[in-house]
Amino acid sequence: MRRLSITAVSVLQAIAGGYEYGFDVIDHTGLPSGTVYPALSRLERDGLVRSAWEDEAAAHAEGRPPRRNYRITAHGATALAEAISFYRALLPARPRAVRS
Amino acid sequence: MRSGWIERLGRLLPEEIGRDLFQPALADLHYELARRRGRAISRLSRLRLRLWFGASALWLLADCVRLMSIDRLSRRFTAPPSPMQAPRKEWLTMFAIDLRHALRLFQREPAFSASVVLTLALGIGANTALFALVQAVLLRPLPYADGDRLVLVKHRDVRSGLSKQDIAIGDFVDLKARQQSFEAFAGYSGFQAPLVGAGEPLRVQGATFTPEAFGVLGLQPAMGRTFQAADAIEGAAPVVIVSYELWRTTLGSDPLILSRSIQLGTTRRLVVGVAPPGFHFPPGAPTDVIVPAMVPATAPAVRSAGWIYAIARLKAGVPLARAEADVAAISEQFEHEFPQQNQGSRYYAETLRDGLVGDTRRPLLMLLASAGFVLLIACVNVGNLLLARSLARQAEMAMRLALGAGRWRLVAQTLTEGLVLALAGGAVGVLVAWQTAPTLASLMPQPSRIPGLDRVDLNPAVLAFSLGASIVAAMVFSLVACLGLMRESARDALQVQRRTTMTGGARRAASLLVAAEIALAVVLLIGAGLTLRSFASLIAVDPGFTADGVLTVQFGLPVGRYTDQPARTAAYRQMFDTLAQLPEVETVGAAAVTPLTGNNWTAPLVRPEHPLAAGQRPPEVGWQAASGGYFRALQIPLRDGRLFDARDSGAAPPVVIVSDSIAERYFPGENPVGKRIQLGESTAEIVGRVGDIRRASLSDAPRADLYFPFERQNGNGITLFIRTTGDPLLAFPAIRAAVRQVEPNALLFEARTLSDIAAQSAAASRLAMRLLGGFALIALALAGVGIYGVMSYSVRRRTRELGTRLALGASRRDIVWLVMRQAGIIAGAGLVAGTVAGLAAARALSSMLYGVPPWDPPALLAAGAVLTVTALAASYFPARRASRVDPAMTLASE
Repeated sequence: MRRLSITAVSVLQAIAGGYEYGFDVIDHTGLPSGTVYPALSRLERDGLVRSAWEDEAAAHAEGRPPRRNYRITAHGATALAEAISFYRALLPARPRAVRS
Repeated sequence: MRSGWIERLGRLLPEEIGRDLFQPALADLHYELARRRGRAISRLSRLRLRLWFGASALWLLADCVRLMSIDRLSRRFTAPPSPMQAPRKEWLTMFAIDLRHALRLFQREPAFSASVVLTLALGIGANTALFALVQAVLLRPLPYADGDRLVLVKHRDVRSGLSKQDIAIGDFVDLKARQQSFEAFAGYSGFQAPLVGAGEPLRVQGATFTPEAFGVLGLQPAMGRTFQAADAIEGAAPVVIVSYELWRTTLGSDPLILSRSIQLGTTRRLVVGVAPPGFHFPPGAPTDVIVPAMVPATAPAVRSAGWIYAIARLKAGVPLARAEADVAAISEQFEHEFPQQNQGSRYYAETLRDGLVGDTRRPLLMLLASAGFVLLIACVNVGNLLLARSLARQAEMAMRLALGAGRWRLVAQTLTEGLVLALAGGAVGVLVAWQTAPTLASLMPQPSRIPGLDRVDLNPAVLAFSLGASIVAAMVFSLVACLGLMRESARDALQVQRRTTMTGGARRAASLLVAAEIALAVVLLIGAGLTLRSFASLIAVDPGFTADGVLTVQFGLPVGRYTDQPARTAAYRQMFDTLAQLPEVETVGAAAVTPLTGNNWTAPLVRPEHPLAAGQRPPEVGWQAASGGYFRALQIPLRDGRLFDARDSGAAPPVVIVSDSIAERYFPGENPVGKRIQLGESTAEIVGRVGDIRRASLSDAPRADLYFPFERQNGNGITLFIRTTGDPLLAFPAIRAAVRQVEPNALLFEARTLSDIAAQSAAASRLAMRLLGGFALIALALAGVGIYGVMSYSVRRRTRELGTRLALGASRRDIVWLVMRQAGIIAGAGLVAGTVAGLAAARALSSMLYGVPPWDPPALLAAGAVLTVTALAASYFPARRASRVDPAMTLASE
């Protein structure tokens, strides 16, 4: 499988952290909607996340449309862990002192 | 918020982008909208929410477009296009790149973008709102089959200039028989009557139709049948067609309605049909019931025994002009054959739409044109802003030119930037129009009588208009901005890239544009000044009576109880006496016609001592039936003689009262009181002379009026005129209670103050004044900003020159004068051009002006003065900045 891009990692990380809904992911990652939604679609196509619509009756009772929520799959959790360790390996061992 | 448009736009996106981005994001947006709507309680927060949704949706679309362009680009670099499609794809790709660039610029300079978008939104919003009105009133088809073939036949009295719709029955019958242009010719009129049944009687609006009217209007009943010839002859069983709405509500959707009869006024009528849902005639006015109009088959001996309105349907392929000629020819025959009735009376045909829209067409189109001016001014300003910004980007442009970008590429890029700004402005403008168009419609004079005003909305045609306006605006201001680009060569541009200057050509173009902007603003200012002066003179008009403190109430006696004149007179007298006792009431009067509501009923006036020569038609004067209390309540002055009183009722000899104009015109050098006038076969004595009043409207000339005693001419329905001691509307409950004490089943409705009616009479003038005034203010502000911008750049450009002048001994005052003189030249040129154009435009306005000539010096002078002060103020600040240039610094920097 191809390695996850930084964007995909950010989105997947947000979902793993409990941000299950598109707008929450946008808020949490600071990425634009034009990046987040296509990334979610790709992740779902690759089987890394799974989406489900809320119960329609419950939403209807509250007078709003149902919401689409995303969950990370086991496959996704593995891919995320791999990608994070890969990117972490790219960082220098010790952070350099920052000069003001 | 109706968001169908965004879904429709979304369908245009490529499938992949729609599926991966647009649809999920829009679903979440809808979810957010629903969630936040629950918390938005105030009107303002709901409006904010709508704006948020609209902006987010647009932003989402922009994101999709951005993604599309990236997609295209990546495809272009990975797979070469097929030769057949290459040119088109290239064009599209370039457009996508420009679009992306423009969106990025839009985002990078939010303050600049916001000011441009708001300026355009104002212009496009005003145009869209007015176009929505114009479309609803003038362009949308009338709610009748082939409505554009419907024609009203009216007549004009060439002696008085009065136009009338009511046609004498004799003329109607002959017109119908002789005409050859119409496939159907019908008569109609309107009435109000109580619908008596269980509970409180209900006042219904009725229409009388001749059987042909259904064919003329293309009306098919929802149930039952229309009228047949047998329904409309004297002695036929009374029938009625009820409206669909009346059947559904008051008549309880009775499935057996066609076998029922209803009590309408004094007559019981069998229901033979139910009109289709939403049917009104005339449009806008409610039509609850339709009864047959009784028109004889041949003209009666007394041709003017009764009247009716005429409506006809043009034969297919027959133009209105031919029908006009046809009607005019018949009119001439009438004048020859029946001079006593028809001398000086000309029949003419006009389309139903013109008849209904009346005097509204011209003000509507004029206001739309004014809104167009505002948009033009906004475009010039935005163009100048873009031109100024392009100075800051000169280095970028020069680099592009040097790297081989064609000039047309740069123009295309500027146009795309303009398009993005204009579409954003258009979107906000549509929101502005969405909020203002219904308000505008309600401000129109007599909105219920103009068809279409109840259906003003932002339909696809209106949205297409605002899209068109946005695109045209983008073209105009982008071309303005391009002027700066066209004259520069790459070398020149690279050389000057460190200086923020305009080239001479661009500077002259900017000055010229500002002068044009000022000229447009002057035209609007002159228009606003004229309508303001016209409105002021209209409300300053003395109508001949005092409207303040008078309550008017429509009043109806219960049906079937007071069948003869003495019974009604006695009932009314008792009512007036009871009302007069109330502490809230000063005087009570009654009359048939309410002043200032457009009524122009007339009666012939003949003096027995000056009989008419054979074949002469007597002059016509205004007709009114009034009680003595009417004159006292309205404070119409009694010049001589007496008012009507109890002496004039019943079998007493007939009497009349005349107004000043009758006395002056028909009794010159005589005292009319005590003289007699001819009334049919008998004569009536003139017992009093009163002042003239403005009868039809405030702008109407004072009329010669003939008053008949209400005591002898009263029906079941009258209008009460009550002068109250306090607020007239507050007195209404006490008045109603007192009336009910005397007659529990009396009908009382439409309580309005006479001042309100008078204000309504000036409504058209007030609306024109407010809108034109608003547009003129916006135009003035934009012109001020324009001058300020151009002078600011000019000062910056001339810093070195001004510094040198100061170093050589020029005083700071000299510098201020120098800069302001330049502004003065621009403003002066605009002022002169604007005044000339304004004078021409004012001539188009003249039919809407009252008491003010189109060349009114105060309006012209005021427009000039206001603009001069604005121009001076706008150029003063740049001038002051110029005078503070430090000569040492400037020279040192060289």
